[in-house]
Amino acid sequence: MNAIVVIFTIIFISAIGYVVIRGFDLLSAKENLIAIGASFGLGVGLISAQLYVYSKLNIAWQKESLLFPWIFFIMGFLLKNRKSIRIILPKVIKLEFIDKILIVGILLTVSYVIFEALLRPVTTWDAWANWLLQAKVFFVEGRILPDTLEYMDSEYPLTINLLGTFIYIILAQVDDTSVLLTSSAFYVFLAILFFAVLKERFSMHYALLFTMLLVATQNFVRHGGRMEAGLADLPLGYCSFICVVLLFKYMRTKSRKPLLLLNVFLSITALIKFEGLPISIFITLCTLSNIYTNKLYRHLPIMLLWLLPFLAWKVDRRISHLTETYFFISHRFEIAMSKSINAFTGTIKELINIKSWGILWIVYFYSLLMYGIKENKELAILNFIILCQLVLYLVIYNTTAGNNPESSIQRLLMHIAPMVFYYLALLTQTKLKI
Amino acid sequence: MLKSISEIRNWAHLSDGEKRYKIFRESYNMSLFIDKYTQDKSNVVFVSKNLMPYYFGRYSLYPKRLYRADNITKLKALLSTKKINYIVTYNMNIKIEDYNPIATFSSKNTSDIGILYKSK
Repeated sequence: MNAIVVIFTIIFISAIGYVVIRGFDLLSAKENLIAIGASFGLGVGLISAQLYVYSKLNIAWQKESLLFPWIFFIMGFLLKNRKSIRIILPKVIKLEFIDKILIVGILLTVSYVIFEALLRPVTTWDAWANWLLQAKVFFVEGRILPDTLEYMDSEYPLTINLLGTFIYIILAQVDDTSVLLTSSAFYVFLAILFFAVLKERFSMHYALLFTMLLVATQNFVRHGGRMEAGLADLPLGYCSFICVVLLFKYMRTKSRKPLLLLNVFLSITALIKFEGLPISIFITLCTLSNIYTNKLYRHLPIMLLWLLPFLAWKVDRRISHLTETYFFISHRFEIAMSKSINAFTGTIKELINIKSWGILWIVYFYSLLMYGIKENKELAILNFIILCQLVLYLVIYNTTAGNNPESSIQRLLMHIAPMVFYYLALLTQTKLKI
Repeated sequence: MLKSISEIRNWAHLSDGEKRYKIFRESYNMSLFIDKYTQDKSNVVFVSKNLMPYYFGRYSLYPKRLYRADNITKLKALLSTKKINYIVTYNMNIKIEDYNPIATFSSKNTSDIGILYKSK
């Protein structure tokens, strides 16, 4: 029963995101499927922000106070657009046999992932020791208290924790099995978005093929439901991918609206995990480069927007006298030859881990050797972000205590893996002209 | 499909408690033990070199708060800075002053031993 409630809650969260995108016309009507793919991520950012703001303003976290503003917002959107809303059955597209096989494959894989998420309570260490611990604590306390953050020794941003808290508020109980469906939701919406982005440019079977490759990659299956559900790495990979998609849209259209939506998602990305901040910075650099090249200087103020929620959260922590211990106590500066060797060998070992990734990373680095980094502008940007983030992880492994590839690289690669799939899809089409 | 069948066979028939024991082993039983013999919203120091039972207890027992010490110096530091209602030792032989032993945990499947002390 709880699982059904969580599914409806996920749909509601997505509806919030979708109505914001369409209500403010942040993506065009033609990009409906992309809007659907991005809707869950935006909805998560918005409800997490709502919980955070309510906590600061001492507004009780009750179902009514949380849900009704969004219900009114959605109803307002429906009323405003009542003349243009038509309930029509989707056109039945004639699919070739290969497309049907791929769709069945995708649906079977997704079903397996959701089934796995519901089979066990939360399993993976970081999920229950960090993300769901905080979700539970916030739910029990009914707000975010500096004392509880200090108790949990928590420095991570709160978006994913607050998503868990929101689910528990709707359920009126802690259920650390049903809440894992949120990981499956990120997995499903990533698949929808990935397909939509490729379908926009390429054929149906090309888009389906690469979507199948993505959803069937073992590490995505694990993070979506099997054994590693509950972590924040898949959400970060999903949001990073949305940011890149929106960046490319902005580069093509030079319009303010995708830039605004990009800023919203840069903010959400930075507020999921620490690793989201450098990704947001790298994407911002690419955006600023585009603004400078095209002399779109009037768009510069918009590029500051994404930093504001992140800075507000940091200032709030400072005002609450919460200590920053990550780089100062638990992961101090430390270099040693053995660390460096381990950093590189451990990372390479994961990159060639066929069980987790198939041949994804092998093909990616082979393509870099064959075609270089700057095949075209979009591929260059993707390579810049992917390689900068990877180098950053290597630098962290080389220079900080307590960080090593064995315990984390498999999760960290999730942050950039969707971009790598996208890169390979674009490159393959460029080279093979399918 | 084959994977799903084997997963159903291994997990579907288990109760929630059995699943948690399958995943967390004695950490799960230890947290049940602490929960049974401590009052609501109490502060407990977990004295052990084992990390898993502490972190799992911290998650499963909240709003009871668990703090960790792996030696007598850290234990004394916690006792002097926080109002500690209980101390639980897990696989550690350590002299506890000003607290009375009230319950003992002994694993049926391993040699793990835990003793729960309450403040006088």
